[in-house]
Amino acid sequence: MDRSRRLALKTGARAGVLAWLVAAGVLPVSAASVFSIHGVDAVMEALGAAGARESDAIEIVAAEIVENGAMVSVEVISRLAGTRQMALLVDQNPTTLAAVFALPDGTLPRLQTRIKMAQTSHVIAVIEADGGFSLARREIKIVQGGCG
Amino acid sequence: MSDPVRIRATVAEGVTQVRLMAAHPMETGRRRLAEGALVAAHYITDLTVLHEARVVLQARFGPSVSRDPYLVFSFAGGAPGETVSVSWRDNRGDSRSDTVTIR
Repeated sequence: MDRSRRLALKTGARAGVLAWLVAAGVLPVSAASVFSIHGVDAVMEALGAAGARESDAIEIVAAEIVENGAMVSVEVISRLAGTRQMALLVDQNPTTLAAVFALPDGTLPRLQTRIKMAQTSHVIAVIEADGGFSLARREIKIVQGGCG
Repeated sequence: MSDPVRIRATVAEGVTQVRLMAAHPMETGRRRLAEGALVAAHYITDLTVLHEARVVLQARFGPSVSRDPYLVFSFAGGAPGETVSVSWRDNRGDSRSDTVTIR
């Protein structure tokens, strides 16, 4: 297989996945670009979540102080009706957006994962639910950064 | 070929909990070796979880997700013997898909 054909196939497959994700409502914009955007406000805008209000119906469960920023356990719990999307942002990371999750009907609005944190910063959970976008933020102190 | 995704799916009171860990270096592209060379970015970009043929979770990752991505979540339904599958694709175009049965 020559290289250009290979590249075309690869690009095609990737574009297909992206188109599908956008259609499924996982991402309102091109996915590759939203992960390369720097800064909370810019990422929120790209997610279509500009102007999201803080909500105490969203809970971020995490330790206050974490020794190793390479593995920070974070759980997001949403009590907002119709929660269908969760995004996790870290305001001081080189890559602001850590992950975006689409939760189809029937999937509980509660999810735990592990992220890297370069330094002490705020983790922000952005939730899309029936009432639009809302967010919660929580500071996590990092003893040794883990984005190297 | 990368190692299998470790998946555990257990059902209780009509809710299936999925715990998974995908073996992957999740290199950000910013880490330097002792001699100063940059390690190329290598991370999972897409991860999908199916219950039988139905999507129950769709994730997009950037390089800020930790090495060996770990997820815990639950969905309504599921019965012992039914399948849960996890598929991922990374920024190099590599992919992997693994299936377990619900216990």
